[in-house]
Order: sequence, then structure tokens, then C-alpha cells
Amino acid sequence: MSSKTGAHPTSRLRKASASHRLNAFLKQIEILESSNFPHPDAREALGKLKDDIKGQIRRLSRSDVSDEALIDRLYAQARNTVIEYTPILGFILRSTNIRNAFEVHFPLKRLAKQVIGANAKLIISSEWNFVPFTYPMTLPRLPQFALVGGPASESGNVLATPVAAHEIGHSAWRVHSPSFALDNKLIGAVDAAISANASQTAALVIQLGTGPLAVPQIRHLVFSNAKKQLEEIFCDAVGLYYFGASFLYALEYFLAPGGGPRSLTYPSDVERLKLLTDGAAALGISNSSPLFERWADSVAQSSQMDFITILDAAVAHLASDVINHATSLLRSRGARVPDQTKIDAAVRSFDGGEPIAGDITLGEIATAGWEIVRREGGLAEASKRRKYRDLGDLMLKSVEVAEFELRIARA
Amino acid sequence: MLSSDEITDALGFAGDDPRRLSITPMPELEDVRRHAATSIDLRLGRWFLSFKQSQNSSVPLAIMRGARRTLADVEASRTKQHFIPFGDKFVLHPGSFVLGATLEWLRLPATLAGYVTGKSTLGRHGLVIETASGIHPRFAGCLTLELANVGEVPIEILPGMKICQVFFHAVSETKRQELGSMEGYRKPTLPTPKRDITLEKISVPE
Repeated sequence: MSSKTGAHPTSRLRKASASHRLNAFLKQIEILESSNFPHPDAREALGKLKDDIKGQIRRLSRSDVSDEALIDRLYAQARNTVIEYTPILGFILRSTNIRNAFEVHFPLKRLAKQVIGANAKLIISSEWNFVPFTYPMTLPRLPQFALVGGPASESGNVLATPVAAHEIGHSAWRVHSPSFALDNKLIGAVDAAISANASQTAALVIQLGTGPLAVPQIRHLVFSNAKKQLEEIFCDAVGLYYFGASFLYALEYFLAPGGGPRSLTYPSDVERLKLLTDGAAALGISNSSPLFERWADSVAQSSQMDFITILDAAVAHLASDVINHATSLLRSRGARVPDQTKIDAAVRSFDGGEPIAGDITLGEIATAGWEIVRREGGLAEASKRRKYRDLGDLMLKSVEVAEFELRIARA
Repeated sequence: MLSSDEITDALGFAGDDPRRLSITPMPELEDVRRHAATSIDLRLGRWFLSFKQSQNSSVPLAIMRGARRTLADVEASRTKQHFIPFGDKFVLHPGSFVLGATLEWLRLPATLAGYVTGKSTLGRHGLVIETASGIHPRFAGCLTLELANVGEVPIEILPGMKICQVFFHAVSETKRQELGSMEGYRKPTLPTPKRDITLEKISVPE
């Protein structure tokens, strides 16, 4: 086919398209940079992305259209970057929205640095997705950044904050699970679970119909799903340790009354809550009001029951070890389980219409807030909504005062 | 007007003492004692509220019978919130006006009232803090500050800087129990106007 664009028409067009896509993406970064950033981490993330895109544009401009393989490689890199990082720009944009309770960033960043490492960066955003989620330091161009997204409608609600610790736990897991030597332990646990559940394994072999490959397949599937379950258990342990009873109250707020579909990558609801309540007892965490009552277990598909039996057995071998690993890690990093004396003092302050000052953690503030809400039956009646709103302000002011005093103390 | 000793005494009463004045975070009392000051300096908070000039032709400052929307209703539609982190700055341009709030949360006992004024060191640069001025007994919350630059050059204001001062006065104890409509907030807010029957009566067309 002839062309008016001279030699290598496809390469020229491809190079031009890549240039347009990268420059358009760069323009969006520059627009975002003009936002008001509540904290420096989001701005720093944009700076890193900007440097990366500029580098790609430079390499593209220097590329020779006669080198078709190079052009295709650069085009693919540009395409993949724009595809992968467009949602990240949206995430960063939403992290600047004033509906967020910006005050909680400081203590959550301190938690992230404690459990992940001193270089950890944290971006908290409010998302149009009700299920809290995270990018746990998995973005190649932002390897130090943990991104935590909570539901937009709850982003100003300090009582919902405890679930963020679970999400931060995913980043900590990526950093610390190798030292736990999980894979070796899990291989043994999977084999033990398969041996101990011979009838379920036999049924699965027939179901899979892959002959001698069936058992290795089962082993692989159990291993990969058990690993994800153990990660969730680790993250719950991080949330429980740092936020104490408020983590349990927040989970109940989000997940009650249970009964959702069983996910293979989470323990069943009943097992998850049992691990949490056992973990709370081991840490000396008590709840001031009934928890997890009338809770329906998650519902598994009947076709998956044999597999789930083996999977849960493998997870059960290691769940306690994973929880102990999280607890030891947090203890060694100086994190503190919420102190009931401090929680009681915060409750008295909030009841008296004052924020609390002094040495107090976000976990203790959140627990005190939840204790008042639960003591008052939820504070949802029209006559009590003002109190609910005031309580949120008192809690967030307390968080801000703690930051103010910590900044002075460390100066 | 309370002396420095009386202010520090009021701040030192136990939590359940009805005479207790609470300011959180606690101001630097040593400064008050050392300078024998009769006021407490308060710091600027991190939340600001500016007005969207381009979206409003005018703003009603009173509500009339039958009004469908109160000031509070339309606050979100005609104002914009800003959060400025510690270490960063808010630039207030000449002629511009923004609402801020004190970093400190105050709670006054029934026996104290207060007056808020600006600081002359800031006023001389053109920063006027035209506040609601009076703080009533039993007030609880952060004070909303009306910050205006009446000077000729832009002014940088920083969260955490000393921004205003409060003088306290002893008052006869009142029976007031309920919080007012502008109390209990951590962010700057617009007041909710109350119906003014007299205004409504004189506004009825002939």
C-alpha cells in the first residue's frame, strides 16, 4: 500500500499516536498538580508519574521510525502506562476532595510507616465503590505508595476509619510475608489438608476429570486461595491490633448481618469473626456492647463445598501463626493496642463536649467514639443526629490535636 | 476582665468543676503568666471556607416567611471548603475574604464569656479578623474567624500560626443549657439565620 507519509508509514503513525496519548496524559497530570493537596504524598506520586511520562516522551521523540520493533515497544509501553495509570490519576484526584476526613491521614501514615517501613507513602481517597480496597504498593511506577480507597459516602466518617488499617495491612503483607516463609509452610499445610480430606479430594478428582493432573491442580488451587485467605487474616489482625474494638465495630457496621456469597479468598464469615473475637481476647480487647449477633454465615456454592473443605483445612493450619506474626510485628514496631484507660478518658471528654488531648492514638479515639454511639443506641434518631455529628467533630479535632502535639514533641 | 492568673486558674480546674474553662490544645500558659497577659492567643486551624463569587448574584442575609432555602441549605452551593496542611499556606489577596477557624476547641463555663479580637501585629499588615466577637457562656467548638485582607499586598497565613486573641470576662451564671446554632463545629461555618418576626411584619406590602 502506498502512502503520502513516506517510508515507514505505520511506524510514523504509531509514533505520533503514542506521542499524543502520552502528552494528553501528561496534561492531565499537570492539571491535577494545580489541586489543593491535603498531604504531600499525592503530590509526590504525581511528580513521579510525570517524570516517567516525560521520560517516555523523550525516548519516543529520539526513536528512529525505521526501527519498527522499537517503535512498537515504545507504543505498547505508552499504551500500557496510560491504561494502568488513568485510574490512579482519578484516585489521586478524589484524594483531594474535601469530603475526606483529612485529619486521619497523619495517624494512618504513621501506622503505614510502622508496619511497612520508614519510606512508606500513603494516599487515602474516597471512591465510588462501596467496598474498601487498596493498591498495596503494587504499582511499578509507585512502589513505595500504598493507596487506600474507602466509599465516598463514608469518607468523612471517622468511625469508618478502622477498616483502612486492614487495607494498609495488605501493603505490610507484601513486605513481611517473605520473612514469615509462608510458602514453605503452606505447601505442607495444603498437603496435610488434602491427605486429611481423602473423600473430598477423590470427589474433586472426578469433578475435574483431568486424571493424574487433578491432584496437582487441586494442590495449586488450594495453595493460591489459601495464601489470599491468610493475607486477609493478617490484615484483619493488623486492624484489630491497632484499632481494638473499634475495628470490630466498624466491620459490623460494614458487613452485618452477613449472609453474602462465600469468597474463596476470604475465610467464611463465621470463621473470620471467630478468628477476630479469639484474637481480641488474646490481646485483652473487650467490647462494650454485643457484637456479631444474628450473623448469617457466608453461603458457598454446593459445587465448591469439597474444595472449600480442603481449602479451609489448609488455612486453619496456619491462621494462628499468621495472626501471631502480625501481632509480633506490630509490637516490635512500637504500635500499641488501644488502652482502655485512655478510651475511658476520651469517652468522658466527648461526653463533656471536649476533644481529648495528650498521648492518645487514633484507635483509642475511634473506640471511644464507637462506645458512645453504641451506648446511645446508634444516635440515628432525629433528636440525636446533632450529637452524632458533634461526636464526629470532637473525634476529628482530637485526632488533629494529637498530630499538633506530636509535631511539637518531635521538633 | 480576667487577669492572667484567673485565666490560668480557670484552665486548671478539674474536668467536672463547673468553673472549668477548656481550650484544646492547651495554650502556652507560661507565656500568659510571664507576660501577665489578660488574653490567650489562639492559632489558625486548617479548614477554610471561601465564597464562589461567580455562582452567586447576591446572598440573602435574612430569611422571610415562606423562604424555601435557608442560608445553611445553600452553604454548600455557594461556598468552597479548603484544607491547608501544617507547613503550607493560604494566600489572602487584597480585598479578599475567607472564613477560617481556630485550631483550638473552646468550651466556656456558664460563668465566663469572651471577646475575640485580632492581633495588632497582623492587623498592621492589613489582616483584619472581624469575628463574631462575643463568645457566650457554655459555648463549645472552634471559633469561626472572618479573615479579610484590607492591605495592598497579598498576605500568607499559615495553619498553626497565632491568629487572634481572646479576652475573658466573668458573668453571672445563666440557666442556658442548650448549645446555640453556631456551636460545636471544627470547621468554619455560616450561621443559620433565625426568623425575625418584626422584619416580616414591616416587609408586608401595603
